[in-house]
Amino acid sequence: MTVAPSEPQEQGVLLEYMSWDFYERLLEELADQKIFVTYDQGRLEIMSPSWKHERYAGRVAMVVRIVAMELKIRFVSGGSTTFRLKSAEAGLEPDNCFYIQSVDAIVGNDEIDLSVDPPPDLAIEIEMSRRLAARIEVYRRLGIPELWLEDGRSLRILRLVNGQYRPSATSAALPMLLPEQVHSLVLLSETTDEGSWILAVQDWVRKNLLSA
Amino acid sequence: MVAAVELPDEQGFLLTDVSWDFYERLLQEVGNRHIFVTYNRGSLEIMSPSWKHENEADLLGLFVRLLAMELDIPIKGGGSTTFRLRRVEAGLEPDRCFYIQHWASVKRKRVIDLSIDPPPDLAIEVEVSRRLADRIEVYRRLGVPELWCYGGKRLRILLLQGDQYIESERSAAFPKLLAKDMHTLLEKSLDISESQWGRFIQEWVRSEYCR
Repeated sequence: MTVAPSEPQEQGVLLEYMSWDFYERLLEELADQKIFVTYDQGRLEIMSPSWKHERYAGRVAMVVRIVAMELKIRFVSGGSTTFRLKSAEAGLEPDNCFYIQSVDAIVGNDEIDLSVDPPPDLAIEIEMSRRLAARIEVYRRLGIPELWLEDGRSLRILRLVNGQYRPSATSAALPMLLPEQVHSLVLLSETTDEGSWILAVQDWVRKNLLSA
Repeated sequence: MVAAVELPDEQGFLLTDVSWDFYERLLQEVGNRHIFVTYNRGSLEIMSPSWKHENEADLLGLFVRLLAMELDIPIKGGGSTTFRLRRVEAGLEPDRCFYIQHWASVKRKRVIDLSIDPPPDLAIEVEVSRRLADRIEVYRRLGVPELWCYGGKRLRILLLQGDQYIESERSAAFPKLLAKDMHTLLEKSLDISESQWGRFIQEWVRSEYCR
């Protein structure tokens, strides 16, 4: 099942009173196609991401990777894997995600099962398009400890404290990196091609994070 | 299942390579909620109708009913029943539909099964937003003989001839009725209430058909 290629725009629909079984059946039908399905206690959103949305998700993730590589921090990318937990009636594909602090718990896993495995340590959520579902609530119920929310104007960090997200000035996964720095690096990508941008990010990391 | 009420716009989504079984499972899940699901050989559109879409469908539905009442033509309204036929891998809920020529063969039916029953004689298709699915192709494969497609600017009558729709100046279900007259009447509805418009239509039918 794929999104019709003739539709370049973001499309989305929100359905209510949908069963968990139906959600699983839909995921099966979608197989590995790149469609975002968010399930939140009966509310089911189907969304195909826009080019802009995907580009930002890719760039924020690239900053994470470059920083981690340069600083020799171990990580595993989770991309937009479907994370779901029946007991919480919650499921979604993050715009991007990473295992960093708990990388040892999942390294080498072929699959992630949230009823036994930890959730990703960091998820990236791009808030550029009209999402119909309460995605942050879903991240919360899945127990994802840290969210980076990028909306094109700023990047905010939310961290899970006693089961609630609280705004935070610093990251737990990458404490050396400030949210405003990530945002500036992402914006820099708008002015140049991807290769030059990656080199510029590397350069910035070496100058500002490695020499410290 | 119901579309979220806080969202005023028409929302829709088109999936492709969807199995018939999945389509049927979705219809089950949707139950009697007002969501339009169009299935066309593997592509599946989910759409929640907008206010404007429903307004226009209502207006055209009212028009059909008044016309039938004034002209004493038997009809049965099918609303937005799901019509589907596995053999042709096609299914949808018309915006509105009516049995007219085949009224007698469905008048006592509690369920319509297109593998044995005729399709509705007339379906109304309101084209407010660009639909993602090729709904006319689905109507064609279901064998609906007459379509009134209303896009706000223009009303087109399509009649099934052989297995193709041909645009026609006049209706088959209401043979005296011209597309251009209908368009003028619908324009009129913009400035007056539905009840006033209803009376206006009644008077128009009487003067037009009793000449």
